[in-house]
Amino acid sequence: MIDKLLGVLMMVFVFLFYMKLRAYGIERELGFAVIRAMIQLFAIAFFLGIIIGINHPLYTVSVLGFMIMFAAHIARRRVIQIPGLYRPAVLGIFFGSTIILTYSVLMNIFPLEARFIIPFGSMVIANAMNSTALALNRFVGEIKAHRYRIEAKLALGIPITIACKPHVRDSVRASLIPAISTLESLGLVWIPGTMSGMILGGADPIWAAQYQLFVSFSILVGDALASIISIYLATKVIFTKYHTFNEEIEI
Amino acid sequence: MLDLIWDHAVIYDSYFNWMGVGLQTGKIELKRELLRHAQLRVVDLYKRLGDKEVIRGVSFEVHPGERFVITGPSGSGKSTLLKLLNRLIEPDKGRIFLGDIDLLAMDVLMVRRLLCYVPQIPVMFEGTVRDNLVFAPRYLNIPISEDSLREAMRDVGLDPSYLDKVAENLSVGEKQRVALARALLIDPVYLLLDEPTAHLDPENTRILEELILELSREKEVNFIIVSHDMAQAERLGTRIARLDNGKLSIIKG
Repeated sequence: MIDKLLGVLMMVFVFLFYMKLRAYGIERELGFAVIRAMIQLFAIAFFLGIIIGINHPLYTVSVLGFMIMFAAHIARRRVIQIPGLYRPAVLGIFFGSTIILTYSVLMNIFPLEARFIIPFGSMVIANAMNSTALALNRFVGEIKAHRYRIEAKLALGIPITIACKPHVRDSVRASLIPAISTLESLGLVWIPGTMSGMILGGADPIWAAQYQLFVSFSILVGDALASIISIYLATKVIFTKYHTFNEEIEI
Repeated sequence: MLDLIWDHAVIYDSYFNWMGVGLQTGKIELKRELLRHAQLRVVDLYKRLGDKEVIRGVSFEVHPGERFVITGPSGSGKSTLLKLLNRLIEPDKGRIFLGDIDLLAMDVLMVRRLLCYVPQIPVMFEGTVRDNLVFAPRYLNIPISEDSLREAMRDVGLDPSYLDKVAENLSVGEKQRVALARALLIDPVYLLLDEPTAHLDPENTRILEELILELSREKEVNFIIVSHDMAQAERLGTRIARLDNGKLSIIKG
């Protein structure tokens, strides 16, 4: 297997070399991403082997906890404009994914066993991370663009939650677009991870499809919850309890 | 579905923020007529923004029926002072009284209904002129009839047929007047205008100035106006103050 992997890696480097030649300007970033992905994935595979071997709920849950923390860190870093958004991001991702994972464990769909819940959790958390980053990014952008409109509403005695409502709606909608288009193309354009994995492993396609639907819907719900919770908490950072813009934050 | 979640967040928010306000609102409504004849008293106000002390110990009084104009060079803190009165910015030190009510101890949303701030740039909300006018009253539970909308439009010198136009498509002068009508509809005790003619041509400036004088005389609206233009201050103000480097001095009246 490793020799075939080297083959595809060669292709990546040819591509990188071409981009370097043409001065695309992202070859450095891309190169780092490729190397980082390899190290991360091998490390996690090694690590997962151990965790699955131990299969103790405490370890499993702490792995998920670490994933959430890193996801929040990455999501926050993508919204570079204002500081103080780590907490909204981490809580959004935490609640968004925990609710779904708890449901899955309680219903015994993906039980609290490392080899089930960690892959499933990683899918939910990764998607929640993307939607949180998109939602917060869009929200900060909206607030920036409509600062004066929001201020005019506040000046009339309208509370923050009402003044921000159209912008919240736009941000949540924008954050869900990837999840929705994934759902639309499901099966037609691509057979997603869980289903292809199960089919590759020899499972009945109908059975695999049911699991896939559970995963896809879970991801959608997790995304929506994570976006709306993180935006709600972000309003607490951007604005003060006196219904004013927080002076300490440059918008 | 998402709207539903957000609305619940709103209810949760209002529950905690407004718990004490229900009582306060009732009291204010009773007192409203009294408040209309209440003087505004600002005592020793301080505000630091970044590393600059923008407002340094400002004290003044405004009496009902007055048009109090604050002039001064740009950057002297005029807008900041108005926003402090409306509590869009919280003061570091000092007190603001309306009659015998301490505005800094009161719920901030209530303060903004009593001292309504109209920003320098007239920003329209989403939708038509009608949407703009009913936005705040609908939320604040102020009953608004079609007639009162038409009257508000006439008060600011706009034809009621404008109600169904898309607000964003109006001219700046018209937007400024819609912004004024929007504020008048929530019936504030003092109306705070921040450079109301800064973005208007001479003709629209004249119209707006006449409008302010008319509203003040006939509707007994109390104005506090910020203007960098001394000639305009003379035309509009019954009393004029000058803000320089964060310090205020009365120069007329």
